[in-house]
Amino acid sequence: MKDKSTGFAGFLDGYKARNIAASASSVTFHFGEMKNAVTDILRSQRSKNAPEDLLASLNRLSQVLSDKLGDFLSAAVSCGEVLKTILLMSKQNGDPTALLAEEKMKRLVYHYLEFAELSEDKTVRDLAITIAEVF
Amino acid sequence: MAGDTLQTIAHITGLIPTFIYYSIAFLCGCVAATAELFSRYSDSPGSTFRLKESYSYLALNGGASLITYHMIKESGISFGPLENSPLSQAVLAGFSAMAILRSSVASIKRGQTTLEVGLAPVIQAFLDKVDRAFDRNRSRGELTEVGKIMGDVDFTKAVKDLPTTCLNLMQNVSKEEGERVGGEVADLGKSELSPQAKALNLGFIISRVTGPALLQSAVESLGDVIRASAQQPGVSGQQPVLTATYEEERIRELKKKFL
Repeated sequence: MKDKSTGFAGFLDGYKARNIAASASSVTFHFGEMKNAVTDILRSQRSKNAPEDLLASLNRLSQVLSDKLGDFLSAAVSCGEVLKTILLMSKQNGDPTALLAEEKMKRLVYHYLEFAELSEDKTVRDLAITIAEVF
Repeated sequence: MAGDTLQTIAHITGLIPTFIYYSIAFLCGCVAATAELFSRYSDSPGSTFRLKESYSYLALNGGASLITYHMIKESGISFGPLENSPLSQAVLAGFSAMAILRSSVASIKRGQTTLEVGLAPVIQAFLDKVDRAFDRNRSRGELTEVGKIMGDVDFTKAVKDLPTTCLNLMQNVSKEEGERVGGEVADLGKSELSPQAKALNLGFIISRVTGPALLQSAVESLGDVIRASAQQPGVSGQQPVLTATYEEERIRELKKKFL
């Protein structure tokens, strides 16, 4: 029996995909800026002898932004989940390496918010709001 | 004299079965053409019968079936078990004629252009005429009907709710068609049309899949969720104020913190 939800599920996928495609150059720009910000943060945190698990998470974040596996939306959700974990754990541990104070971290979050606004995707937008509210 | 009359009657009687089989081939060709038109204009199949161009297309298909049946009969081509069954040959001719006649005899390439040699361009010209006539006929009625339905709908409120509701009500819309509608609605949202024009065009996009009756039911059921308010009239009124979702507003506030 045909799955009767396929029509409207297809609509939502098609709607989001076309919105992202229409803003392709902006999306690519924001992803590029986020990747640059993560690279800078990684360098800075290494120089402050940040814990290995934090560095590993930042590496994972950099990989997600570089690979963009699947599509921009999937990558943004993965990126958001990793970033949320990093920030919440840093805040919980008292932020010993001043990760939340870094200008590059704010730049990263800003570009993630910009992407979330373009995406019209509820999951990405909810992640962006949660991440920004950590500060 | 009596003998001549009897001979004539016998000759005519002998032709009756042949006439019947030709008629069957013709009718099968018409049925195949009708099925094609119904699938092309699936949102309003009944209206194809209001167009004289549709009847021309049916006649073309029927004629092609007659020619195909005649060729099968005269050429003596064997179709295995169908060889001795004029009825099966007539049905086969009826349903396969257009496929056969649409095949190109040859393709001639001139520079960047490829010319198809055969009846395919002729058949395509007939189809294009039917397409254009159907579009004209449909557009007239659609504008009035959809305009009334979408009269007080706010595009920004309805852009996702209305198509999602309508498509969920339909049990036979494929994922691909849903994606196509989603893409068209996204393009409409990003266009520079006025909010009223966007609402009207949203109605057109949806009604081509669901028909105007279901669109109307969905608009009535969603009610104030998608209606423009008194201060924010829709298609028939002045420019409405765009309403943002909670997430959009929150993101805009938060961005200021990180600038």
